[in-house]
Amino acid sequence: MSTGEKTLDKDILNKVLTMQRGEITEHFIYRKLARSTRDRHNSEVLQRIARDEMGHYATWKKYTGAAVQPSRFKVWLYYLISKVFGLTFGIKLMEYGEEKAQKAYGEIAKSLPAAERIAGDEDRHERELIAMIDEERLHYTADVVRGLNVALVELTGTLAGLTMALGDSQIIILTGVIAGAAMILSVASTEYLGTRASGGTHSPLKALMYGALANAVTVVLLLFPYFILGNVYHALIFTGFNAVVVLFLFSFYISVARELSFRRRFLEMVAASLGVAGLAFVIGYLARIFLHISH
Amino acid sequence: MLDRVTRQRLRAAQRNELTEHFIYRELARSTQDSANKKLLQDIAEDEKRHYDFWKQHSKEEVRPDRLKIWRYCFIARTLGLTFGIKLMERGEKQAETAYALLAEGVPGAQDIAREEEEHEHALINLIDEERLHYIGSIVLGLNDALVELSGALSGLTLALQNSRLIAVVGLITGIAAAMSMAGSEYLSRRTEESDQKPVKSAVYTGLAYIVTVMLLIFPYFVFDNVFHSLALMIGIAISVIFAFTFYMSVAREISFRHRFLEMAAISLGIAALSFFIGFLIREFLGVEA
Repeated sequence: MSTGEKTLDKDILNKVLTMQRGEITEHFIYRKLARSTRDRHNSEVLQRIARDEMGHYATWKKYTGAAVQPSRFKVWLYYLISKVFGLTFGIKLMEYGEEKAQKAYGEIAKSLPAAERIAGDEDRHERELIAMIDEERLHYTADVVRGLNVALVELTGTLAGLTMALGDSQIIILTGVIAGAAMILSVASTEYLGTRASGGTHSPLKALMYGALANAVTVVLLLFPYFILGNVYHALIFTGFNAVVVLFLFSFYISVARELSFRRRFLEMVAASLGVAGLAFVIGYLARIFLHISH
Repeated sequence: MLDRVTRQRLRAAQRNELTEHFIYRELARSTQDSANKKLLQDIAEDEKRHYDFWKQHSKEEVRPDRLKIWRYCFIARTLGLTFGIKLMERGEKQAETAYALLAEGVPGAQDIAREEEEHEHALINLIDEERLHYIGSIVLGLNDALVELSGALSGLTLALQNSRLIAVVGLITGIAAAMSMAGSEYLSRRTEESDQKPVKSAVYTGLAYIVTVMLLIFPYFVFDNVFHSLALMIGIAISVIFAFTFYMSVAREISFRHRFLEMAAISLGIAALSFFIGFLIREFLGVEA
């Protein structure tokens, strides 16, 4: 394959150029992230990946003989995503997109088997490096998940039940806000006590913060439809929709950052939330019929 | 010849051993689990030997305490083997001091006391009781229900000031919360891959939750005055915390005071905060129920 460089046809050449552009783009992304990361360990890991990407770029360049410019847009896009949503999420999202590009490897491999081997090796190496990135917020994923889940299942259920039982927007807002507040406080105490009792390396106060914050944000998202819509049934539908959206976004985040399957977790949680909401709705209906509440 | 006081202590010790022998034998008879049955039989044998030892010195027969046998067998059967036995052994601490005194007049008494303390204790700790495996799940349900429901109910009391309405809202919130907790217990046990079965854990959590919810909201079904209901609800919350902390402290041999005060402070603190939030909401949202 020593003459490989000279036998590239136009189609393959274009594919290799695309690869080359991908590598240089990633090089710039990692370099930018390395510079803006305060944590020394993470900054070093990022620099190493950036150097690797440069190496990949050089490998492809040997075959194409051309210099390529990075995609400025992608550099900024993934830089921003990583800054806002976290390093691990941003990088894995990017690598996830790269995997699709890897299908192109198959065809290139027919002409350049040596190149494919190099790419494969480097890919594995890169993965190992990415796994070394240590991000605080991922340590507290379980706490965030609990905070979200509790709010989603419990408050959606409570609101469904109250909507059916009371049917009065103002009283539902009143009770929903109080139930939500009590829940946030309860989640905070559970997180604190639970983390302290488990005696791990996690800080109880941080667990409390992550758990309660996730819980509070969800509570606000679930309650606000009742503030803006006069019809409680419309509000309930809006709340249910918000619950599904929160679940979708969060399941997606977890599945990318932790490389877990998305579908099952998402469907399971949707079933739990909506199932409890459905049951509570029935209980609310029964309460209305049998307990004759007047207000 | 032994003096009168020593003789009396001897008889008390002898009676105590015989009573415990009967208790362990009775419990062994009614226990299905064969490992636990064997353990209880072993302890019963030990108690019998101790009894015989004292008898050699006192040279008389005593009768067991029938009431005590019945009481501890009842407690062990309803509230759990470990709890019943440990509650009984706690009472025995006094007996141990008597043994120490006895050591002056009776050679070998101290050995019996030590055996009682070490060997028996080791055996008791071997008793494997299902419900204790799930105590974490039960505590989870109880704690969460106590903190959250007492909080929500206090807030609602001030905001709504309508007993029936508060009861219904509390019931709906409580049921939704119980299902939510049971679900999350199921999920966390499943990912944990521990000995605890996920479904069983979820059932324990959910049941503990629902029972606590019922206890907390029932005052609102009984009284028309919401503040009387609130007072009774707080009283019930503290009683529940007291009862289960006591159970835990006996069965798990952990300190009672600290845990009790901590849980009571959290529940009441959150209830007070929610009460205040209820007040604010009523003021600022202008809701008139």
